[in-house]
Amino acid sequence: MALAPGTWWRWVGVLGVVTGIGILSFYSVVAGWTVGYFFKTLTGAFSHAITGEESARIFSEFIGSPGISIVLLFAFIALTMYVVAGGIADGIERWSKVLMPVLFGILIVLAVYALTLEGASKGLEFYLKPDLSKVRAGTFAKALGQALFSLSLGMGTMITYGSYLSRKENLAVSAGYVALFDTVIALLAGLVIFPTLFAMGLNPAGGAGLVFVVLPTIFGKMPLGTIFGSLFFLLLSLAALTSTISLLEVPVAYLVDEKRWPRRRAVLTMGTVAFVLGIPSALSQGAVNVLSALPKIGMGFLDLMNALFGNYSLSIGSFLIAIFVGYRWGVKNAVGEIEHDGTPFPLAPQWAFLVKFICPVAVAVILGYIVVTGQYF
Amino acid sequence: MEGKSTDRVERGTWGSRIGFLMAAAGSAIGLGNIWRFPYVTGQNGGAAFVLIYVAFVALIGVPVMIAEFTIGRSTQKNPIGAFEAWR
Repeated sequence: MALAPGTWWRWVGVLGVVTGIGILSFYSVVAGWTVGYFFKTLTGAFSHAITGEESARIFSEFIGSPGISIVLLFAFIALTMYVVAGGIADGIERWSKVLMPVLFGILIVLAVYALTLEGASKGLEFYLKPDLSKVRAGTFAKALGQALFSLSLGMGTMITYGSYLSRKENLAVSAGYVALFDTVIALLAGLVIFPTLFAMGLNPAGGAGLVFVVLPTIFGKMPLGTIFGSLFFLLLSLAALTSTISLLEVPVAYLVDEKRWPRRRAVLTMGTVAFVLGIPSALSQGAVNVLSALPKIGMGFLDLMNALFGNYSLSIGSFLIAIFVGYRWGVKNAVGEIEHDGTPFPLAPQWAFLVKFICPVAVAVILGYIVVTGQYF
Repeated sequence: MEGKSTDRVERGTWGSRIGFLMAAAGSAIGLGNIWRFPYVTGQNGGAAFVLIYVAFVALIGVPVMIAEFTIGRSTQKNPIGAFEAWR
């Protein structure tokens, strides 16, 4: 059964599937960089101290090389395809059950190490002591955008993963766990980065290049830096993999369900689409001038993909899902589904209030903010 | 909607609760947490941003995630199929 047949709500689903493929394409480019940096660090590229300028040059040469970036993009999508081709229980689930504990273990090791560096406490203070004078309108936009992106909302993945659940599962508790794990991992990542940066006397506002440019400058200065650095980029690669898996599963599920395609064929097709769509993003970091600064748009192709799919379409998708459940399907019906088989949902009234009023308004405000200011999150 | 049992076999299901949680957490946990979160936090004043972020996760993120899980499970379909065919 489906919820709203023959209506334009179908396009919300289409938006979700398209967003999944769109994000997969450029996300895999960055994921490829993390794999490249893992090998770079492991083979001693940052075993000696380098300056910020040297590090920036190494990074721009690396991402500006057409061969390397396309090969890494291909490799990452191929690995993603391999996992997804295995199916739900034998592919995605089996890999996730190995990768997630490994990821958590690496993160704990890195955080413990970072916190023992001399001068780490200044980083902790910056990270944990709120300075409300720095809060602006943009802070809220960035925080909500980060929350939606980080929780993989509005891109069809959680609908798809939910579709493989049995009626016995407690959906509210599951969502709570997923959000808790996600937040704990993000907070732990901060516990690795900020103490390390402050211990090495660096500026925390490093921007997108923080991980690829700033961190490599300190691997050479810190004890066991090459091991620390290699583990860090391995961590990033594994984290990216479990996400690209879910992004690929969205269009694959569509072809398997609606077009009755065999899973392998669906994986091959959609993986290829994501790879081809990812090529211009891979070439937009200096390899091809037109793609690096698109005429009239003023940004590179990868940034454009991030703006379109990582900002607009996932926000619009999240907004419409809240509207759909809040008003079209109705919170009563949704609560009925959640409470199926007698599963308790004591927070149902609060959830209904948030879904009907707070979520759509908050997401619409953020959407308005990025439209008006052009400040993407 | 013929052959519901064979559909389920073809689509597959999660083998265990912990397996589903690991997969869904794996979907959520990614470059957003480890690459993006620290630098966005760094650019937006540190701890104050973290507090606002956690509030949004609880008040907006979790409710929308419950909504998505519910849509998926009630239809047992991909996003397009979920909104499309009605029995």
